[in-house]
Amino acid sequence: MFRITTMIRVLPVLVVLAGVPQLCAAAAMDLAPVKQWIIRQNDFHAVTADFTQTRSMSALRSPLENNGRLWFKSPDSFRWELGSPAKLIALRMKDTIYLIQPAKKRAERSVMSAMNQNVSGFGLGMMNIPFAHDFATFQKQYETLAISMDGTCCHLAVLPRDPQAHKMLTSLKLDFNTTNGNLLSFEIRTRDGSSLRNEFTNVKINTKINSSVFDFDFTGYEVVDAKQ
Amino acid sequence: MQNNNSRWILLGVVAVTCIAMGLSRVNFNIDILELLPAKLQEVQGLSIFLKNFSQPNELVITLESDDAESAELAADSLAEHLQGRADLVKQAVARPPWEKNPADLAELLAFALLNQSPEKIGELTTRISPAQAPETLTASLATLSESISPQKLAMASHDPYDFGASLANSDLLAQSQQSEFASADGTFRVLYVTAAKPLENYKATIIWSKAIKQEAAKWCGQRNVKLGFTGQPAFVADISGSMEWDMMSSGAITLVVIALIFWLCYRRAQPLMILQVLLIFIFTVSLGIAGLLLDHLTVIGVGCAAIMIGLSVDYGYFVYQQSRQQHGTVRALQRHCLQNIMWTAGTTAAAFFALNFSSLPGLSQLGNLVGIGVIVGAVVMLGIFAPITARFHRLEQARPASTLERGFATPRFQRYGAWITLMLVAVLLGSLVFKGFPSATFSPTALRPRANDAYIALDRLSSRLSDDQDMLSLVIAGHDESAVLTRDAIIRRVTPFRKLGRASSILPSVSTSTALVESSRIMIFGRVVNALAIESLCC
Repeated sequence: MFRITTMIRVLPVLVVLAGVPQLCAAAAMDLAPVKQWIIRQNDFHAVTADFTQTRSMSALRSPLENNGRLWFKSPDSFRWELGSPAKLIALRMKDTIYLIQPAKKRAERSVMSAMNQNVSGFGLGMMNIPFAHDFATFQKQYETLAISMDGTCCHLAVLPRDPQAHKMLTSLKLDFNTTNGNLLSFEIRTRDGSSLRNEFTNVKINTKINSSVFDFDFTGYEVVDAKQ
Repeated sequence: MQNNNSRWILLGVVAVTCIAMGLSRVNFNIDILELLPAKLQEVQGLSIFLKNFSQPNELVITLESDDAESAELAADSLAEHLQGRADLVKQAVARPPWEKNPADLAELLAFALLNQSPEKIGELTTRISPAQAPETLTASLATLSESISPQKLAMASHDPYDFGASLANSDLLAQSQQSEFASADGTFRVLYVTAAKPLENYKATIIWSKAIKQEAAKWCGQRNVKLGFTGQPAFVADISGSMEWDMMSSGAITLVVIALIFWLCYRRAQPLMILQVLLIFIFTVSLGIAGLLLDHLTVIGVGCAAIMIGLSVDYGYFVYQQSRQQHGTVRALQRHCLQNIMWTAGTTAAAFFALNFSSLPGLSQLGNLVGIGVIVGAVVMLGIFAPITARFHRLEQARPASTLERGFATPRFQRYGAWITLMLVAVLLGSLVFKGFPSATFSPTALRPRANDAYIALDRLSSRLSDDQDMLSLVIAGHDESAVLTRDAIIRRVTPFRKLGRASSILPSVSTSTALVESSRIMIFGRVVNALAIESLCC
């Protein structure tokens, strides 16, 4: 009898306490900054930025660093250069993306949609602009692992829901400025303990970009279709 | 009189012994090779293949789910569940062993590397030579620094001296693209389950397969997965079990139908029971004789009980009908029936014995067994059933004919019967004219049992995992490895076979075998420098 009455008294307390962790989780996973950031990204029509790419691999004691630069112009023009002078160029022309190795005078041609479906798309070490067309698409494509705020900087960790990506990746980490929407860094972590981090500087939004940036003269190049 | 009885007893003992010996040779195990023409080279090749590579104790379980992740988890869970039944399962494997322990693959890859052509081994030697090694390392560093290909990054970080490049286009890596454990989309998984003890016969196989299926069903519960069972044990259990049942059920059904017709016609229980016992006796004696005389006797041949019983009962009906009309001696009855029965039995047996010209051993056995059965049936019906039925009719008081008998005897039935028969013939011939002759199916699938789960699961597995239906398998056998390798090399020089992949990429080829010793040194050196390379990259 004592136990039953005690239980009845304690029950409301237990119910409330049981709800607390969920409330805390909901508070911790407040994705409002992401929603704002995605909306803001839709206003980006042109972006240029410098970046430093750091590759850390389990087999290497010291990480490898490379500098690069990227250009984006909506809706579908994109250029990404690694190294100076460029050792690798990723160039998007409409639905085709070229991976160009100037030193070898060689280029691989891929269909962008196929590349997005393929995990190797993440190997570019860059993110799509915009990251997702809307918040619903973001939630459909990514599972949010963690989100935290540090002043105006939002740290977001996600994992693509795509099973192929799931097999290889442990997380994608993004840092962005909630004030102006600028992406600060983008990091890929793989299951073998390696990571690839891009830190962006000198980011310019909606700046004028010469269209010749998105052209490339393939004269003298061997252009082959990439194996998907 | 006493001598006469002793002779009959001795004859009975000899007959029973012979029958028992013959019956002991009947084999219910399904050996597919015993059902195929043994003279065909394809069958001989298949025989060599199965003799060396068959997995009589390995059940293949297929598992399908809506998404790759749940399929993978479910396959691992089922493997773990089955592994828990140590009394049933020796091992249950749901993924390649090297996925859990990648180091297990190292020796196989090293051996495959040794089996490459001398040119490739030469390239490797150059790549890791003291003069070239720094350049190779620099190239690997460049790949690590610049490449965006996950595969290249993974390879370069773990194999900076690029040992794997020599295997890039090898058959081994080409085959590794096709997983034996999962479909490309991951929603279809395969488990390989080995029995705890060798399955000695089809009975043990049926019991084991059933136990595994029950365990799998218990594990499955409310899970949203679809399971299938195939592999050699599944086929043996399904086919042997169903054949055993077919044989028993078809014979039993035939006996029931015979009893029904006899009862409708004559309404006599005693001769009916004697006829049934004699039919079983005919089948048993025929089986015993066939077991003694024939080299092989499989369940396919034995499965003809219904035909044998159906033919033998005709003679019994004839003898019974004649005994009702004839009131003379037993000898007179036998003489009266002898000519008719021997003619029909002789022609029927000859037709069935002619099946020996068939290339399929199963058909030959069926022909022999039915032929023997028809002769035994004729002898038994004349020698045993005729005296019994004659005595029965002598003792029985005259009874009025049954309604059916009276119906058959009326002139109206004979007149209408003729017309009905003519009309039936006209309708059937007309259907042939309008619909044409039935089409012949020459596909091997026509020989498959109906609704066989093992076949269904195998078809699903073939369509989801790999499609090798257009591939021609070439089986090379030899007394030892070098004989096989020599024949392999000779065959590869023949133009049509140049494009053949080698099933056993890990076997050293004749051309590289001479370079093995040298390349072994390279490998040892390679391992050392590889370790050093990783260190140097770390610096």
